[in-house]
Formats: sequence, structure tokens, C-alpha cells
Amino acid sequence: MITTERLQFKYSEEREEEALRDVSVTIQDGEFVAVLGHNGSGKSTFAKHLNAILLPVGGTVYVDGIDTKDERRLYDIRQAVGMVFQNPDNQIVATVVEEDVAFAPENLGVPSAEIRKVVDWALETVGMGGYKRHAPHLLSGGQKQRVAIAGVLAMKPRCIVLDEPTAMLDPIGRREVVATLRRLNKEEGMTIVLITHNMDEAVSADRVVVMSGGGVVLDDTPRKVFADVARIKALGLDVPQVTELMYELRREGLDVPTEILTVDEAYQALKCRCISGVSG
Amino acid sequence: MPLYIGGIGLIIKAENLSYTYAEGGPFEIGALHGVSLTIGKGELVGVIGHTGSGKSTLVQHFNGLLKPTAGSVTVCGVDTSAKRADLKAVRQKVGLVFQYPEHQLFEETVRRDIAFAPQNLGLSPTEIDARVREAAALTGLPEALLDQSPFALSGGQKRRAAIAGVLAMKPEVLVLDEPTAGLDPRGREEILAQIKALHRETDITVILVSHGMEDIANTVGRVFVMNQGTIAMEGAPLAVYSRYEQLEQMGLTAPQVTRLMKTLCGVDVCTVKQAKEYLLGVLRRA
Repeated sequence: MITTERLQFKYSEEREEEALRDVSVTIQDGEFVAVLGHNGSGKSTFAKHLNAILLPVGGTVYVDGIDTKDERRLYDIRQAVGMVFQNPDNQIVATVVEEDVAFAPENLGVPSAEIRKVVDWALETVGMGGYKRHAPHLLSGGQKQRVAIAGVLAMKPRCIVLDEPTAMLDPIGRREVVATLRRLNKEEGMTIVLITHNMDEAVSADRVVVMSGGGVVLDDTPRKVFADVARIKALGLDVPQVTELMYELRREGLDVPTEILTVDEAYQALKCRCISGVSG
Repeated sequence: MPLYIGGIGLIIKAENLSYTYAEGGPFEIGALHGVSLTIGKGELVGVIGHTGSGKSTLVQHFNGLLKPTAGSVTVCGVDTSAKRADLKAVRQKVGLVFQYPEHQLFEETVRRDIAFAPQNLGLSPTEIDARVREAAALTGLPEALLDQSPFALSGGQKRRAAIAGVLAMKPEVLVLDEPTAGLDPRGREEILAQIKALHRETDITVILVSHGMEDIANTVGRVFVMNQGTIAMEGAPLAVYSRYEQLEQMGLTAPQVTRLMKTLCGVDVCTVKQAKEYLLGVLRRA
């Protein structure tokens, strides 16, 4: 779906530091990839290369085999890869939910019967079918962000890149958005690239790419990535509490598994030992 | 534990506080219903609750931005709903740091931004300079950054600069509404450590509003849980978090270790460190 080859980027000629250096990542069709990194790690800069908002200073980005530097193919690239940003308020343009979602297909000149269908489908898919006639400014943050996602879905992209879509949401809003992304990935086969610094969200991805200093430092399943607790913490990131707990117990010399991500897994791993410990 | 029993050393007291937005209008909506609480001088307390639970409405009463629709709020001895209440004095004593306070930065340099409030108090230039330095030190902003544009700072630094601007007023109470929202894990930890240090080094009362249960567990001595405009629970974090099933019904998520240790061993913990120490004891004996 997307390939970057030795991607390099600088924000200005004068500034020496590179925002991205030699980033080579391949994202397969249908993958759910989380890109994790602290502020300034280059993760948002990377995201903006995935639908040609930014163009590489060095190296190449291919979307569906198209070089993003090819200006004539810009619409094809943007059609294939949709982008959702951090603040839902900056992305909603209309005063009625369904009109907002219809904005893109209207501009593409899609026939109105077709628009009706695509808007209904997009809103149903994000679980906002009951809010078609609502005013966006009266929705909660999580609902607004889901409307923003529906607006991108109405373009029928094959991949959605989301740049910290939950940073401004409360825990409930976060859960709604992440559940929506999982469903899009599993049921619609949509490729999802989720940029985040929240480890809870990265845990729900199939693969985690960790960025630091403009480069990729780890690229593996969430289980493998988070098991490296010392490394993740040194990068200014967090791991799930249970992962940290198991790591700490192991450091104290206890033979416990470390590739643990959820409360249930930790419970299963510690259950027998604790019960025998208490009774003994 | 500060003394606030019987009104000694009490700094904030709400009695039967109710607040209704747009009272009497077509969009009338009750946000607080009969909230009573006391906060002692020098305490570090947390207020948690999901969006719409009333926590922001509550703290806006603490510096007189909102006045009760019914009931009363007394802050630093001033009843904010009294006819001639000196709200100016209350606002000088209670600094409120809003969500995303960095949006309020506006000056050309960090120094001038922090100096804005003391300047408006009509203080002398030497006093203003002293306050700027002190506020910067208390928030962990290096001197070297003071002459930079606030807009050239990182997200975490901007937030410190904005908090420093409030501290330069020398408030007796500091209310922080979601001070870690949108920060990455390191920025979050730094801000929380700085808040704890500030509380330790000065006699300021700190009220921390958050929906980050982990943040609150490691930081405060006492926590209020807001739900549907009322105080649903109150107490030490450990005691409150142990009722995690109820918290979950209110849309809050208890820390992973709290849930794990309760099901595993039936004990209450709220931090990874507590869980580790307990488990080490049990497993080493085994």
C-alpha cells in the first residue's frame, strides 16, 4: 500500500537538524500500524508524507506504486490515503453532520443519489448513523472525531492515516475512536496508520513502529515492542502497567513471562503462583 | 494531613452548591446538584470525573468565575455569592489554569508573558523581576528560555510558561484543569513532578482536575470523584480506586494494576510500585 525508501525531510534549508532521516517503512494492504513516538520524534512529519502533504527532501514515498512527488497524480494519492488530524473542531466545515460528511463527494461531483448512499454508509460505519441531522458543535469530542473520520471515509480511501486523533479526547471518546478504527480495519479491510504517543492505543494495533530522533528505532508486534520496557522508557514513552509490573518482577529475579499486555494475561500468568504463595 | 476539621486552616468550603447553566432559559441544564466539600490549607487534592460530570463547573466556583445558583462557596474567607463579595481579591488568591493554557500565551518573550499579571497589579519593576524568576524556577523553566518567544518552546515548556504566568500572581490556591492533556508521557511526568515539587516547597494549596486516573493516583493525597454533578466518592486514592467497578460505571477506568491485584489477591493498590512490593512478598515466600 505505502512504501517509504530512505525518506529524509528538513523543515528549512538553514536548520541543520533533519526532521526525518532515512525512514524506510513498508505498510501492507489491510495492516493496522501504530506509529509511536514522543513529541518531536518525527512521527507527525512522517504521517504528512503519506498523502503528499509534505514531499521528501531525500528518498521516495510510494503510495500504490505512485511516487508522491508526481504532481499530476496528487488527486489519486489523496483519494487512496485519507488523513484525520488531532483537533476535530478544525476539520468540520458544515453545520449539519450529514452535510459535513457529504462535503468531499460533493466536491468530487458524485451524483446526489450516490452521495446519499456513501454518507449513510460512512456515518453507520463510525456508529454515528443516528446523528445525521445534528449540529456538530453540540456533539462530544469523540463523536466529532468520528464524524471527521466519516468525512474521510466518504472519499472511499483504502488507507486512513490518523495523526494523534485522540489527544484531545477523554477516555470514553478515546475508546470510541479506537474501537471504530479496529472495526474499519477488521470489517472493511481498511489500512490504518495511527500516529500516537498513547501506548494503550498502540496495543490495539497489529504492528508498532517506534520513532525517535527522526528515525525508526523499533518495528514489531506490540507484544515484542513493549516487552523491551527499559528501551521504551528511555525513549520517553510508556508501557502498559501490567507489562511494567512483570518486567519489574523479573528484574527482581522472579521467573515470570514479560510479553504481557493485558490485565487478563497478567492474571493468568500470576494466578497459580499467587494462590500457592498465599496458601503456602 | 493538614488540619481543617472544625474550620481551622480551611481554605475552600462549598455548602450545598448547585449550579444551573442558562437558568430559566430553553437550554437550562443543571451541572451541579448539592455539592458540599472542604479543602484544607496546603492540601493537594484531585478531582476526577468523566466529561460532563461537573468537575470544570465546580472548580470555576473556586475563584468566583461562576457563582452558585443555590448554596454557597467560601474561598479564603470570602463568600463568593455575597452581594459585595470582593471577587477581585478571590481571583488574586486563587489562580486557575485552564485546559490548554498555552493557547493564552501572547507576549513577545516568555519573561514578558509571565510578567503580565504582576505588571497589572502595579508592582515595582524589581518585584516583577523577582516574581518572574521565582515563578520560572517553580515550574522548572530554565532562565535561558525567558528571553525566547513563547511560541518557540516545546509543548511541555509552553505549558510550564503558562502555569508560571499564574504563579507570578502568588496565589494561595492553584487550580489546574487537565494540566497533562495532550502531552506525551515524558511531558506528563515532568509536569506532575513539578506540581508535586511546587506543593512540597511552598505552602500553596493545589487542586488537580483530571480524567487520568494514573496521574491522580501518584500525585494527590485526597481525591473527589464527580459524577452527574455530585460528589460520588471522596477519600485517599487507594480507598477510592478499590471501588473500581463503581468507577467504571461512571465512565472512569481504574489503573490496570488496581484491577489486577484486586482479582488476583484481593488487595487494593493504585500504583505499579505498590503492586510490585506486594507480589514480591507473596511470591518470595512461595
